[in-house]
Amino acid sequence: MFFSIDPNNGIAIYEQIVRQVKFAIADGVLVPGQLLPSVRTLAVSLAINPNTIAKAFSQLQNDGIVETLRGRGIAVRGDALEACREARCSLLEDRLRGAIAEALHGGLNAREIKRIIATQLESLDGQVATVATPLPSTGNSS
Amino acid sequence: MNDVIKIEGLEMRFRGCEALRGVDLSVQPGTVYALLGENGAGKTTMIRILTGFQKPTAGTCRVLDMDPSKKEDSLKIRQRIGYVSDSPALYDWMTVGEIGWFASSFFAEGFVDRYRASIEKYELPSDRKIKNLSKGQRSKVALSLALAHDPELLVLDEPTSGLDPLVRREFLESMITVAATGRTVFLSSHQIVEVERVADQIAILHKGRLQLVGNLTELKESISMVTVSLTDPLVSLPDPSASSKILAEINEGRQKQFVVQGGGDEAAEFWKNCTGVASVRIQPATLEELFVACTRGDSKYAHRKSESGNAGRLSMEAQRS
Amino acid sequence: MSRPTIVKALVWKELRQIAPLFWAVLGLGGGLNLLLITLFLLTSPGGSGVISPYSFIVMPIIFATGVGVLLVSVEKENRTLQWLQGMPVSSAQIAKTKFLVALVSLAAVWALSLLMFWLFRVVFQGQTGITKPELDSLSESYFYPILFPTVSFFLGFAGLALAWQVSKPIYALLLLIPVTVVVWITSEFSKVLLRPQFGATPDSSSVDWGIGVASWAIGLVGAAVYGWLASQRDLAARTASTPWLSLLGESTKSTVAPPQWWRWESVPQNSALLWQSARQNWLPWSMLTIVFFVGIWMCGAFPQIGGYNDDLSVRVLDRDPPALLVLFLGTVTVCWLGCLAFQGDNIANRIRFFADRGVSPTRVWISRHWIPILILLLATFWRLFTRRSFAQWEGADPQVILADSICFFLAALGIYSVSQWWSQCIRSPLLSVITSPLIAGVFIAYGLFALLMFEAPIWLLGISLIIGGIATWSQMKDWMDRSFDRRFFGGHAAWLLTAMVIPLMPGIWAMLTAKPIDPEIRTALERTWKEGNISDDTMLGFRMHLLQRNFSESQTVDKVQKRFESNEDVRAEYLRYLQSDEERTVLQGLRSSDFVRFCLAELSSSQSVVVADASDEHVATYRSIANSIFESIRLIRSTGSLLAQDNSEILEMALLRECKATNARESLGEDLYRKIAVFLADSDSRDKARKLKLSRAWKMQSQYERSNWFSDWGYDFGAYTMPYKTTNPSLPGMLRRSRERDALAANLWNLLNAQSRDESAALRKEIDPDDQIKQFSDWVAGTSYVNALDILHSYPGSHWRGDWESETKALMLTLDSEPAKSENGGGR
Repeated sequence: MFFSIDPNNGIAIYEQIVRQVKFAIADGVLVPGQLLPSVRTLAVSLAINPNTIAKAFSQLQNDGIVETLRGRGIAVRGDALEACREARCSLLEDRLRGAIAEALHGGLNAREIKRIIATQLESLDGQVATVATPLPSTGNSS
Repeated sequence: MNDVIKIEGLEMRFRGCEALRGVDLSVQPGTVYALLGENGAGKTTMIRILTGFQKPTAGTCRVLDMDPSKKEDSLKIRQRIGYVSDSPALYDWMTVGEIGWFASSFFAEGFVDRYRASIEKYELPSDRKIKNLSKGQRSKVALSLALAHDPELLVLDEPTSGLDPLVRREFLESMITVAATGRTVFLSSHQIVEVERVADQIAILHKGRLQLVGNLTELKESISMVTVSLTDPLVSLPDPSASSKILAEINEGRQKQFVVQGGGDEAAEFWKNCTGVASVRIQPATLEELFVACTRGDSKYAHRKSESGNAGRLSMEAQRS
Repeated sequence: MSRPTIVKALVWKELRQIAPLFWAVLGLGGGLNLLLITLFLLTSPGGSGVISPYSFIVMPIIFATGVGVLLVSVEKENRTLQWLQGMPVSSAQIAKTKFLVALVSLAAVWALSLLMFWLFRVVFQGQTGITKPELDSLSESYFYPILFPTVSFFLGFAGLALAWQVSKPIYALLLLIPVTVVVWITSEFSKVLLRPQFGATPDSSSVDWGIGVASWAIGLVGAAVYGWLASQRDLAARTASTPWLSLLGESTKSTVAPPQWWRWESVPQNSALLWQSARQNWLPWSMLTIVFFVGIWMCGAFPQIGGYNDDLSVRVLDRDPPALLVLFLGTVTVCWLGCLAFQGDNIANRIRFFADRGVSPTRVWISRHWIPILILLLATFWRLFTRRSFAQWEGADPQVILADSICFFLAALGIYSVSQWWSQCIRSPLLSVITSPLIAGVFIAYGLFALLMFEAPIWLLGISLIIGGIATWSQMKDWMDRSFDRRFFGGHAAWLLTAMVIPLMPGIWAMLTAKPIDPEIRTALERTWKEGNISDDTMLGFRMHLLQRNFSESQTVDKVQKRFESNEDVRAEYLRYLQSDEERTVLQGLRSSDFVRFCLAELSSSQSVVVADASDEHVATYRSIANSIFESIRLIRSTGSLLAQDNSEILEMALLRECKATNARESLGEDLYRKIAVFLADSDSRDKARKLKLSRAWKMQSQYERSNWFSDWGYDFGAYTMPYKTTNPSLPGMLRRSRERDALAANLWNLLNAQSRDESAALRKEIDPDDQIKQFSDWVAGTSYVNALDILHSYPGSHWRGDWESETKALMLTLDSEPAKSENGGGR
């Protein structure tokens, strides 16, 4: 999978890696049982300090997303999918929350916000490609 | 584990200027240590002291548990470290292969093979004279020479200045490879973006003093930018609690921006409740903003009080840092 | 490649750095020597002792001055020394290797220079060993082989030491001069001091030399030690305080308030350019000027160094060592001034600053040159001043001093022009500085070559030097853009060719327009020679049979005459030889002119005897002498040289005179008279013989000339010794001389074929414009034979087509008009 690291966006680099791995699992880019690249390989290819990578991996391990297979490396856990989806869900929830807070801060009231959300939802629903259903081997869009 | 580099109270005075005014530094093995600072801060001077080219006027410096200013020790040190200076001066008339052969005489066996592998990896023509290489290729040769004897410590003085992004990327990858094998990298740079990616520890040097030292991730997590909008430009804000340290303050009309270390949220909360404050916004600080905050001359909240008065014209020596 | 040892790697690197200087010095030095030797051999043929070791010794000396700078200063400037110090190699190792390489390479240059010297001697002089006189002179001053190497090693180590001490290469080079001068003065001084101590010994020159060598050796050791200390100090970690000498070249800014540059008035471009070059170059310019001026003052104060000989030839041509040294230093100083034009103050790297700002190349060119030329002008005035103010020069002609100063200025300008040209072409400033004296030497040698071999007028050489300036001006733009491509070097090569060819033009033109001999005449001469069949003797077999007979080859006319008159026995013996057919050849041991004089003398005396007393015996003697002379003439006609032929014609004229005398027929007898008249009248066979001898003389000379073309005083033409009118040793001169010979032969040939008196008179005038020869008709008719003995034959054919030939024809007529009385035969 490809990572996109932006050291400047305020999120710690290791956190960005963790999130992107989780999203990838949720999107089906990474399937359960798939091996992640080694710390060193990933560090070199991303030009990121290996300690940061190691920290990200240990975080993922703590969150129960990946596990260490002796002699083979780090692999995605079979039951990671649910957890990742949940994680994405909560991330999106946070983003929406932030957007709503900003709207409130900007002076919109609750009714106006609901109206905006409804209209947007109506126009976008069905137009945006969705993530594939949790069946392995089917290709992903998005 | 012993520190790879240990510097205590290092001072360097040249005629008419002080390049280093008491610096304490220690570098653990297996880390990437980045020394940041603007031009003229004293980075190159410190590196020259580390590599034994300069004798400090005061203070101690130990590299790999040896004193680089002593003749016997410095030879042993140079066997075990690799040093790439900024704009390295190689023998222009030698070819890429010849300089590797030449340098291999100083080190143990294995130099030539590693050098050759490195040259091939970088796709450098081994029969071309160095004066006919581009700047990036030349830097790669210098790096290959510094790495071919498998040093425990790699010292880089602004290695990627003037190089194109591709070459820079390759340099970073080499640095990381070195770090990944458990060796230490000590680099001085003012390419913030690169440092953010690769460094474990950073130190910011400004006018001969260290303004900030610490683990990069922790620092970034603990430092935030707090923007306060005031109703009236003349309102003065009280200092927040002791747990928050203000590193810099910028005033512009009715807005003030603070770089706060430790407890940014508390400070923001504190100011929200002050009179005359319209709104407060907090966001995490990037390393660049941190750097600018530390190296501004007018920072009165600096780590140590900067010396007042004569900024002085730096001598040629110090200016080369 | 396997891993080398540290020593091997370091030595390899040092040798590679030395290599350009090594080859440049040997190549240029060898080329210069080749040019000089070719020059000398062509202009002074068979020159022995021409190949002196001095011109070969200059190579190691120049190499020694450059080796230190090239090994150390270059690395310092490029900062590769810093990189090397970052390697795990001790500073002792680095310095030791440099010392070692300097030592070994200098020794190698010595060896190769001496080898070259020996090779040149073998090739050009055919000598493989040292001749005895050279060995003797060498043993007199046997310190020379020790002195020069010592001096060169001193220079090498001193250069190395200065390079370690000082940061910029040009200052290291410049400081070498005062350091060397100091050691030299110390050695001279100590010689003066210590001489009285050893005054008792007769061999004081050895003591002098010993002291000299010892001083240089001490200097050498001192330089080595100082160099070692300087190297270790330089390579060690820097401390905060920097030694004062290394400040040379590094500007340190003080804490004084900076100048408020925005308040300065703006200046025009020229002033700005001058300010820049003066600010950066002032130090080397000042140092060179001081050295130069001191040298000029010394030449003024000590005429034995820089003065003239009695014949106004400059003292340096005597190869006097102090004068040569001063000349060498002067040349080097001017050369370095020239090098600074395009290499000084690192302008080569900074010139793009001006190029990028659109400064016109001409402006930059002028600004680089006018201060050095000003310095040369000032130096000339200084020279003039020193010459006029010192007492030793008071007697000297002021015009001579003025001319000397002008020549000095022109020579300095010439050297300057050459070295500024060289410095624009060479990218490495160090190499150009070190090799420019050699290049100047090459150009001086070439100038001499053009002057001597091609008769180049001096003003044309001046034009060549001006071309040096034009060439650099024309290539300014490319130089400023740093584009050293084919066009740049091609342009310079074209200018160089022009500058080299222009002085040769007059000589080449003279050679091309020299009129060759008329091809018809040439074929006629060739044919005649081939058809002729005479013996190979160039002279009429002038072997000395008579040496033991009281006559030697160098007897002069009057001595012969007097001998005959005083020694009757010898005279009688000769007469007997003359009159006998078999023994006549013995007399041919005399030179032909002496033989003629002898015959004339006998003829004259016997004739006067007959006139006095016409007895039978006397008449018989007379007739016998006349007959013998006749037979001799026939003999000479069939063999021999042009000189012999002409001399035999004098005998013919003598016989003619006899025949024209009154009572000739009675005295000689009819038969003899007839025989002689017929013979004399036969002008065809006479002409045939003349033509044969003429063609032979011409052919022999041209064959001889092919292998001996260097003689410049005269040539041999049928046993005549003809002086050359043109004595220039140049190539056109040689051609002219060859044409002179051909012209002589052609004129003589034409003389023989002349149809009219006027034509022959004109031709004779051309052969002999001074008209030294009297018309022989006078002589035949008039005075006594004694006068004939004074005649010197300077030119061949001086009496060809004289009036006497027509008189021989008249003789024939008398023959026919005589009645049968002639059949009575001779005798009464």
